[in-house]
Amino acid sequence: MKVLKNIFGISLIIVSSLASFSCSDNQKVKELNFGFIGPLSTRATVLGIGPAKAIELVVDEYNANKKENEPKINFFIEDDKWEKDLALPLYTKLRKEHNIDIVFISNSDGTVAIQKNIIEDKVICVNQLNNDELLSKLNKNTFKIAKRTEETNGIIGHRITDLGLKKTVIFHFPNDFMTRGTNAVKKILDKENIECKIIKVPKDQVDFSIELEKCKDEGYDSYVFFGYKNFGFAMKQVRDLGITNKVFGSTVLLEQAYYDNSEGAIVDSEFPFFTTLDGNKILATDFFDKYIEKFGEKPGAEWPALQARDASKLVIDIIKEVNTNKPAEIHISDWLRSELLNTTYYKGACGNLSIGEDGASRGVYFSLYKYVSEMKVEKIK
Amino acid sequence: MTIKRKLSFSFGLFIVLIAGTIVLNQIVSQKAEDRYEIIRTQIQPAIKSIDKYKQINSSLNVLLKKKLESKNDHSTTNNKILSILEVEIPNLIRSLKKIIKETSSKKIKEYSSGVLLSTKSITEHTYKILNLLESKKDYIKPKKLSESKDIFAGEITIHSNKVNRNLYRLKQLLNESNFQSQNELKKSFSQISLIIFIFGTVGIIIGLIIAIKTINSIITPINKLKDSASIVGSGDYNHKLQLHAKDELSELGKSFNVMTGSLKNSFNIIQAQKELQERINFTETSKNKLYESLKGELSVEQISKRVLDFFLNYYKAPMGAFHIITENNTLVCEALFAFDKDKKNVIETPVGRGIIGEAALHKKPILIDDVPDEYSKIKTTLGELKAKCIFIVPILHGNESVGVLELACLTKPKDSEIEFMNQVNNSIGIAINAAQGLRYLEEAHAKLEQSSETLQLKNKELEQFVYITSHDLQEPLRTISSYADILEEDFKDAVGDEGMQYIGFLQKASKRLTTQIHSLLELSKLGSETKRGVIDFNTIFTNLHYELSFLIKEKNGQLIFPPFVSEKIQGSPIELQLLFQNLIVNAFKYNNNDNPTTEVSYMDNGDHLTFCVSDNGIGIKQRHFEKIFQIFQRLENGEGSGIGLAHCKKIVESHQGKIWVDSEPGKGSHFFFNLPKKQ
Repeated sequence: MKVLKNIFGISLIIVSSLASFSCSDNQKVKELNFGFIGPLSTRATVLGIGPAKAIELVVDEYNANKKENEPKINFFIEDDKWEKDLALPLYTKLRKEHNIDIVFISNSDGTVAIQKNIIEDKVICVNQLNNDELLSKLNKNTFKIAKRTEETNGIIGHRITDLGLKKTVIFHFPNDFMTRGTNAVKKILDKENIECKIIKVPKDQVDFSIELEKCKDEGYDSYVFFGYKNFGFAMKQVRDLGITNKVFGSTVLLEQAYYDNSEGAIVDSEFPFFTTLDGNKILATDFFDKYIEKFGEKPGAEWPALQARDASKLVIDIIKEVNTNKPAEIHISDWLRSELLNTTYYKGACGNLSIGEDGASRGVYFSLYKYVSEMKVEKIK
Repeated sequence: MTIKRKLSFSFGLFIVLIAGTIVLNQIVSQKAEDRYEIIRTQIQPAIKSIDKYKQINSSLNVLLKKKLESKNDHSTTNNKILSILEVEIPNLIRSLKKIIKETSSKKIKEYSSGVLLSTKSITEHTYKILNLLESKKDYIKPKKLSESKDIFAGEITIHSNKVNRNLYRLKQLLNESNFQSQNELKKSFSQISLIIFIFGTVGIIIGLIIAIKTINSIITPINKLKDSASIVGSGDYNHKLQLHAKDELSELGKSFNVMTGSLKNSFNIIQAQKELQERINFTETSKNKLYESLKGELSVEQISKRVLDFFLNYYKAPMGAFHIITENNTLVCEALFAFDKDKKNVIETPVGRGIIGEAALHKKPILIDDVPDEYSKIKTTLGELKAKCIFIVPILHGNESVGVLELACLTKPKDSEIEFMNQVNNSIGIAINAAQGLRYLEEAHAKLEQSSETLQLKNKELEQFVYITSHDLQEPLRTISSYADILEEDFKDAVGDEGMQYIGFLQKASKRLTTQIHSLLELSKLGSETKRGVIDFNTIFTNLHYELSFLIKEKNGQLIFPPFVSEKIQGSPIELQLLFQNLIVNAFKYNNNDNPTTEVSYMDNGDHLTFCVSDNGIGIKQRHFEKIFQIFQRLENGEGSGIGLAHCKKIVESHQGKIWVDSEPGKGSHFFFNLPKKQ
């Protein structure tokens, strides 16, 4: 009888252990879905293609080397043509078709557009391109692992000051990033009492001759174009009008279409930019080697890809531990948010990063570069 | 102490030692583990953070100095300074806060807090410099540059030095703590080794002592048990195992002794059973031998001799005699051994006289141990032997003595041998009785043969007598009848009516007597002169049909035969036809019916045929069923000679058959007879 009781007890323990093991196994996260929304066509493709490929590279590398306890990651890409209005439909599509858990998005306005949905869907949103004051005020599920918009574009303001220029005109594309960049520059110039004129242009405008001619007549000694490839036409038109003054651009200058539209007039333009020289050279070089090995070419501009690499890798390095560290009762978005906010020091290709309480990263610092020839740049300082 | 207790105690002690070792080991290991965790997660990261802090502090100083000195490269320097301010320093501050939180050392807390305060001041002043020297243009403004340099040389340098000092002290304290923790860790490992060594050594010593003691306490009794088993195995069941300890093996020794006792008993029983079986086998063999010798049709003399020979051999008796009780209750010696042969059949002893007569009378064996001197001596060529014992056994058949066996034995028979005699006694009696019966039967057969011959002779004489008598009676009867006829014809008038009436009576009586004499003659001839052959009943019925047609017509009757009788038997055709004829004629004769009907039917009963002659005549009373088959027996209405049915009976019986009647007055009769198919 005693032996039977013992056997019964042991059997009960074994069954319970198996049951609990089975339950815990069922609660494990086996797969996670990443979505990407960015410009793959139409305009600003340099901000979409490179980052998409960079994230794909990071995801593939992770899946290939992941341990048994680590979840598989699926990656799905959508093209927003750099239109903020496409962000929400594309996000909805990604959720519906792939039930994405994390979305990487390049467009700041697009990031604002999907705010309500990501909270409802418990999706973590990472803007791997921009990091500005507006984005920092968005909901708790929004993270910005990128350069700071105001600071980056402020480089142009300081350059204008350093050069002792007196009258600056800024043409800008009508979106959040370019508007904020413009304002950051204006703020610096205002502080130094440098005259600054801002011209907001429609997004499809290609002929800026009238505005430029007017500026020439008004004696502007520096021309800033905060926008995309259409400003290539503007640069050409600047030179065609015989204007020889300094021309500045934004972070997206290194785009083939931009160069083509400018017909070479883009050369000598100065702009804030980021290359391997500005970040962790070892990690950045290693990343681009793998990038070229996988895709056969380097991305058009280094920084969007590097920022996307750091943002996705940082998220994945956290997710790796999901089945070890995440309590079963906590939703993955809550856990991931908490882990991201606890990131105080992350060695990225862009530099050492930390994430503040507002979900915005620190540690990516752009420098001033000069366009020296077709798709070639040179760091000024 | 029992072995179970010894082993339980040993294992218990062993387990206690192991458990003690494990518990102490766990306690010390846990302590060591905790210490190691502190070193790994607190002290070493803290030391690393402090090193990093020092490095960052130095880098910041270098960068600020560079920024102050080079106006052209301030952008790159700015980025690096920002990286330190925004990423590196917050991270280090976090590490320091962690150290403060985890440490219990007041000094570490004090120095850490000092570092934090200084860092805060450095950060604030660094931002001030960055704001003052935002662009190249600011460098040419003496106030801004001068103020920046002052901040650097003043607040920043002072706090930087403070940071370095505090970091140095902190590192010292942490190194001490690290050293202390590592010493404690080392001590813990030493303690673990010591615990394992002490407990292990004590455990081994105790284990060895207990093992030796226990092994000895087990092996010694086992060896004794082994020796005892060998002794018992060699057949000494009286051997006793002596174990004095109070343990299981001692109990085993007791059980062993019990087992030896049981083994001894079992062996004795088996031996006894074996002997009994051998005796039974011997008895059975002896019985078979005796019965075999008595098989077949043996004479009394042969049986007597064989029985005597057998028992002489069985009892190893050198002398003996066998007596048979005759019809006149006298014992006659039928067989002798080692005795005067002339006395065979001569010695006659009446039952009840002498010792053998008494034995026969009382039907009880007599055993005489003290043989008298005058008793016959057993003579050999070497001398004379005197019988030690006389064994006299009456041979019984049922409850009657049929003989007496007398044996002079050299030893007294055993009980089993006497019992054997009792067992076979009756069988011998049966054999003797059968032999005697055979002897009587032979004598009776001889007498019967003689009687049969006499009877046949008498029978023949009787038949001759009957024939002669009948034949001789016919002549005077014919004379009487002739003269009666003459008187009727010639002296009719002379004798008158009354005389004529008397003459009529005389004629009738003469006629009847003539008929009876004829019948008597016929009856006497039956069975002696008839030829036997295959009987075809269809032929008999055809013959009878023709022969009796006149009678049937006269009676206005009807005679029915079976359509066809396929069965045939052996017999006398004439007698059987006569049998049917008598029965059919009687059927019509004793029938007052206007339409007398007689039917012959038959039934095949397997080994015989049963015929039935039925009529619708006057019938017969049941009391006459036997009488009618007797000769000269007629019933009240009797006509005929009274011989017909006796005739029928004789014919049927001469064919090994049987005849009987079933009838009811006024309703007719059924005469049955059966005839065997094979005769």
